[in-house]
Amino acid sequence: MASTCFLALAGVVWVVGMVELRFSGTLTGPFSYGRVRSVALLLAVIGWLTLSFCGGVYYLLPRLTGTPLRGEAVALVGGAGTALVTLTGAMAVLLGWGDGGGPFALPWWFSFPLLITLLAPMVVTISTVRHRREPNVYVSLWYALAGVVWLPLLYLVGALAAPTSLGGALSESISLFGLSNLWVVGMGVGLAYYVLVKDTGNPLASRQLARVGFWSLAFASAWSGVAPLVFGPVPDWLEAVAFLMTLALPVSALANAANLALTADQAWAERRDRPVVAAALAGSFFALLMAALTCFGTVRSGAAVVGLTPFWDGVLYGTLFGAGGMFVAAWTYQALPSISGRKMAGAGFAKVHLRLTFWGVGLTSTLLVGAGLVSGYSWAGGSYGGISPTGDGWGDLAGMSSLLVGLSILTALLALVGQWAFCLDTFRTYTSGRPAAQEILALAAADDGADLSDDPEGSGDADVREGE
Amino acid sequence: MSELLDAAAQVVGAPAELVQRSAEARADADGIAVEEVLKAWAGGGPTPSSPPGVETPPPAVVPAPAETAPAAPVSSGPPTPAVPAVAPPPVAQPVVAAVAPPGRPAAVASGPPPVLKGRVDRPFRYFFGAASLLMLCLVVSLVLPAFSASSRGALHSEIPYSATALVGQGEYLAEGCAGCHTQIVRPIIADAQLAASAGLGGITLSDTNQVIGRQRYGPDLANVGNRLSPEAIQVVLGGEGGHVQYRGGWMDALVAYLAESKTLTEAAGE
Repeated sequence: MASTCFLALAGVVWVVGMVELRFSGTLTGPFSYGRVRSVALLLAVIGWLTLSFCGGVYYLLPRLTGTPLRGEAVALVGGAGTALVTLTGAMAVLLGWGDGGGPFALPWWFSFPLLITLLAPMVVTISTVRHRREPNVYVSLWYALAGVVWLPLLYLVGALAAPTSLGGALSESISLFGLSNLWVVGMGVGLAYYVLVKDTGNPLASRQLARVGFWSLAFASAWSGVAPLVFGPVPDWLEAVAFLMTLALPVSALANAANLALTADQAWAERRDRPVVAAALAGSFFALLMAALTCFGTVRSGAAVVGLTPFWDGVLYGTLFGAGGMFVAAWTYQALPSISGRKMAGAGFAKVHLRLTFWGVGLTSTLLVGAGLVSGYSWAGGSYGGISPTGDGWGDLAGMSSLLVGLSILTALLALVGQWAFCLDTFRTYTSGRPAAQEILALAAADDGADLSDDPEGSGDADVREGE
Repeated sequence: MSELLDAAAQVVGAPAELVQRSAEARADADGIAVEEVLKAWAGGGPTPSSPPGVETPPPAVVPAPAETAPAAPVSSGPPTPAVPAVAPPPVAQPVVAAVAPPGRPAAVASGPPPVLKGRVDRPFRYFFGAASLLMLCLVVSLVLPAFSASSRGALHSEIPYSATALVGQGEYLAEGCAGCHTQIVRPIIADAQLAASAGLGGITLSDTNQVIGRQRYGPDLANVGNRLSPEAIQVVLGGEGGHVQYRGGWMDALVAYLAESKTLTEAAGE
């Protein structure tokens, strides 16, 4: 529920930022673009997506390990702390108390407590998995285990004060791209693998494909953070290495999208009546598209055009609100009724949400990516024409892309309506949803010898190999 | 009703409140009275029929081979007395004691039960593997560049900012100016004219102690001190030319930072 509140806030703040970007000077002080951008990212990445995916991890753990969640108090305190620090941190940045460091511009006295709260999912996950009674490790658990270590590490990288300008720019970029591509997309895919199987009743199409998707994501994603600085003061060898590694990003997205589509199988035909299927597949589509665009922006010939342009805002928006938003919707539509014992309030809300989000986010990303291409070519063309991207010359070059940025505000509003429909649907489900099936996890006590905590690496293998 | 509920709850082994809610859902789906459902669950009546078109849900606990049925919860039918059933050790199956959601019968009722296919794995391999790959990336991309001599290295800026200017740099960061303005000149056509107008001659700025910036929604400010006087910078910060009006209390420091961003030196060895 907390994450849903943050979604409602993040969507609004993001649109406010876009308005301020296009009509510069309309809003000043707390709502100037520089501050609003950091706050929008904080609310979306930490407030909304992180809280939601942490909830997803806690939902998955008992179901995939066969043991009750360990450290519930830690999870609750961690979640509440994350929400509280995010909210107060956002206020602090808006009031001008931010230090401008990292993607969220939080001062250290907010960054440190936030980092502590982000460690809670790791503690809970490790503790629960150590005491698991289920020897098999389903795909979703891979992502949960990896995600809980990626989250605090990536946040820490962005929060640390770098001694040099280049170090600061690199750590901020790697932190932000890592959080969006590793944490958001990774956890989203992990949850989608679970809810799609549960919703359709189909088994996972291919474990090998899932393995390819997981490891290529782990291999590639954080390297994409170098992309916006290509041709900058980054060593040549690092650009080359980052490009090569980022090539694996579309491989990961393609493997996961194909696997999810194959798992959905015939359920795809019923997507209009099955929001879980529609959301999971739409999320994987956005993840694939954004991975391809990221890869394009990392190639030198691509970076020469789209570097430092709105292209990267389009990719970020598509990753967070497209892929992340759809994956969150998928797991919410599947899990909320079984957790709360109430049916989703209305199928109409889900349809409105999915359609408006898909088209709103898709068009916004497309327009921003287009604005990036136009900007890049305008700068290059201006260079031939003797116009410099400084002073008066800037207005001549920025005009063309400004139109596309302006249009993207309208489409972002469309997406915002969809996001609010989702928030309303969630709240109404909690408050007035009709009774529905509720899962009761009756975790049976296994005999002591079956507790794998004593030998987490060995005994499980032996048991199942015998079975095979 | 209360006795029936208590009896059903006892048989099912779940809290009465949850059993009541599940019974209401089942009654709603089957079009029968809640009492009938409770009676059936308590063992005193026939099991309510499934709605038309809905196949009978699978049994509450489906023992399956380890290869095909890991700890994924197995959706059950009504909270029948099978709930206390225990999956074969060593695996403790989370049992779902709930009514299959009406309206989505295919999800739980038809064919084989939902199965999350998997095989034995070592979970902490993923934890440590993911952490190691990320650490590798961080070390290579954040630490190694500090020891690397730039291969471009035509020009760099090691501007000896004054104390006031450094305060201004902090304000520049805190206000998020780097969200719109860059201080970076790249060796590409798009920045060639910028390099020329910035007085750089070449088209490379290989290193900088200015704020590099994220995106270029506004003009680039590398070497801005050579293009604009402090007075002109103050006018722009005051809201001239469509720029956001700066209303903070560090105008002088901000102007000093931008005005001093102008000393560019040849890199050693070039």
